[in-house]
Amino acid sequence: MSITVPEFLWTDEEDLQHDRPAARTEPRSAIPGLPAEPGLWVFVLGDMTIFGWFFLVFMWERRQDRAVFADSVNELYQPIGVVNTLVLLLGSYLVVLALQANRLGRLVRCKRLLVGAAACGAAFAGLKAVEYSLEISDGHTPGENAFFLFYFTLTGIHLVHVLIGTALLFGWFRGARRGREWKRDRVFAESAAVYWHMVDLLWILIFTLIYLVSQS
Amino acid sequence: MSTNTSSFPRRATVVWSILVAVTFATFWLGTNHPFSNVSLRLASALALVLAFVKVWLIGMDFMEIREAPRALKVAFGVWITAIGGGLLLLYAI
Repeated sequence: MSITVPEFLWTDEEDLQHDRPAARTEPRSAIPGLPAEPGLWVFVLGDMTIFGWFFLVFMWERRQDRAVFADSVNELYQPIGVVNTLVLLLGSYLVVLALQANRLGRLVRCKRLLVGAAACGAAFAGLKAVEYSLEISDGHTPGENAFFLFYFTLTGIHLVHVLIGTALLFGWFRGARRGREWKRDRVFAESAAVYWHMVDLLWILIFTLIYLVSQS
Repeated sequence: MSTNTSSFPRRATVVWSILVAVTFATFWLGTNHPFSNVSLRLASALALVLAFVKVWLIGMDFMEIREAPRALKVAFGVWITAIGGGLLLLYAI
């Protein structure tokens, strides 16, 4: 299967023939009301807990050397961080709309929204690359002190999550392109959506902890 | 068209607007606000609380935990309480 130019992005193609009722009311999973499947949630909560431990250790280390943390945080580019927060929030909103469109069988709309969300992931990664190169050209490396070690490690692991999340959106997109029945694509689509929101949620905490709270 | 089949989930749209507004508020609190000198610590603590409010909203309305079984709600609540509470405690003491 070749990757065709995504014509649907600008054509007038609309979802007229796909007017299925909301799938939300159909049996969604073995457990009513649970998006995706239980295993996904075990993974997501586990991942969040690992990040949570990182956050707690970061806060503990900050207490050991407040001055270094406060000085180091002034070397970060906070505006890039806040723009990236808004980029991920927009991506999350687009994914909410895409899931809704998918459930309604409006696949063209779903695909457009997914492209938008994936673009947000790419924009985030691009801005992160700019930020890293600025930091490194300013002479900051993970070896400089505890703060920069946390900064590069936490944001780096998070960036990997953004890339995985973007790849999952492409997987979902391919499913929507095939236009199969929703019940066959549901678990993958909902898993990708939940994972994507987790990436957003973790970034909000990383941004607040590292870019804002460290300075005082 | 009922709310169930609408392409624009109204609740998610409202939540998203709140998230964006709180992001700006947090940024303002965390960088330069009129009380920077007297209450930077208080502002940072508030920024931390607001961040966890955002996390809670994303979980409830974007990840759809609000409509999920009770066990998931509890697990998510425990995570927020433990990590958020722990961070605030470590920040305050």
